[in-house]
Amino acid sequence: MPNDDISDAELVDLVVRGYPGAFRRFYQRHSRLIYGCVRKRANAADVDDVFQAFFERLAAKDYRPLRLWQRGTSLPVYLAKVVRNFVVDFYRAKKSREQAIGGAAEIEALLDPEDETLTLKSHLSELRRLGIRAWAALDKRDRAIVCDRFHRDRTNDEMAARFQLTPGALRTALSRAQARLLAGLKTLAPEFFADSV
Amino acid sequence: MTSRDTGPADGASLMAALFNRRRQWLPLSADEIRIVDEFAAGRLAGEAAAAAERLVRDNAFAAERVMERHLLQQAESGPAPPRAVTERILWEAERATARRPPIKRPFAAAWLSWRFAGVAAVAVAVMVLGGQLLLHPARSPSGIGRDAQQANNNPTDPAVPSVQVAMATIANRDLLSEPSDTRLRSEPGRSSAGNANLRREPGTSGNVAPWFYDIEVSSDVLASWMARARSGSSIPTAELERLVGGVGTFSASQNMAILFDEALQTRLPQPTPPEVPKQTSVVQLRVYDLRQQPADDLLKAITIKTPQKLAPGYFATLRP
Repeated sequence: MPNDDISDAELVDLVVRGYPGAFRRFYQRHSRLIYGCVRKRANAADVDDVFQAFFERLAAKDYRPLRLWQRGTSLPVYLAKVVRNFVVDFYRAKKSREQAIGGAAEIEALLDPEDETLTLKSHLSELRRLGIRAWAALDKRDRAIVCDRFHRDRTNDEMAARFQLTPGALRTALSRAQARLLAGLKTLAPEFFADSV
Repeated sequence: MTSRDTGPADGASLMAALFNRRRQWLPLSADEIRIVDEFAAGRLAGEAAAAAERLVRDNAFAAERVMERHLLQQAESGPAPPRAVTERILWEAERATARRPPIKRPFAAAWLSWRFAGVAAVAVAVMVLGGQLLLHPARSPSGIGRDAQQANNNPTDPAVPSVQVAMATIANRDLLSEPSDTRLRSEPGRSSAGNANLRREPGTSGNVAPWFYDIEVSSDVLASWMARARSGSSIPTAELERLVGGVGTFSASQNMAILFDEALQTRLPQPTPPEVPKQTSVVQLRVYDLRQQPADDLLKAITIKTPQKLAPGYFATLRP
């Protein structure tokens, strides 16, 4: 195996070519991230099964999701998206079966995650889409504050005048609106956030 | 959720990524990466935090970096996969790897080894043939000795290594342009098409192997290649070396082929009457290495115009 500091692109190329030891290196580098993403999305009782099924599926598909990764974009961000789709498909398949499922092998035939051809633009669009959903769930005043601050780029003075607040009260309102937006985003994209205290 | 869950600084970087304006698609410098990492970790305050926020709001790569840092921070702070699961996964993967066919050698290594093998084979052939010719000069029925150049150019001679060529069309020409998203952060504005005369080989780049090259050939040479591609014959490797360099990686047993785009016909000069001097021009070609992973989609879109069973190796087309 080449030296430790090879890039993700080089490592992925070695994995898809079946270079001895490359998969182990890939696992060492990214398994924690993948496990974390699974943990955030799957039921606690299913986490280990889903995690193992993810790698089984990866190997069964001859690492196709890794082949489709756009070099030059972030591999962790891409993997998070692939894991999320995998977990969704896992539960969709589980739900569609009437009898209980005993393991990944049983749902193998049902699992066929969408091909991932994601670019940086699509990563940002996805985050933006989730952000808009979280923003839409805010109350009217919070929506207006967030919109003024982050979309219209209004200054604090302008916003204070618009909302008839003192500078201190505006800062508090802004901070709370932001916290509520992030709380909403956390339910939609939990892998970006720490576990709840 | 309370502010404890995200933290104000933590939230600031995610908010900036969330509201990224995508005004800039510039690779980050080492300094900018450090600033973004500090910002995502919540270690910046005051003007430094404001500057970092502006960077993340404007530059798409900075926003992506924030997303990546958040993912990695959460992964690092969370539990590792259970040891038993890890062992099972690694054991399965190693078993699967052992079942897979041997890995392909890197292109450059194969090319170099072919060159050494080729030089040795040619040296032996020259010694043997030279000795034979000295002892028994070959004569044709007309009594004229066989011209060595003619022999080398004869693609049907089994002693001369040659490569199968064929014509092809492509359904979706959009696949022929380089997607900007595949450019490397570490190489701003990188393009394999930077120098028309410079042929870059796969495996020479730091992170991504270039999968196409740009070359120039004379229209006469191209016309001769395409004529043979149309007739379904092969071309001596020595003649094609300028096109694909390491054609030694082709093996006759693999039936690997070089494909010529039908669209190249538009760049060939029109036939002229015998008394009119022939017009020769330089044609700029782009050659795609179809054996590399980025060419998968391109390969699917190509239709080979021959009933022979071929394994496409390279695709020569117009340079956009």
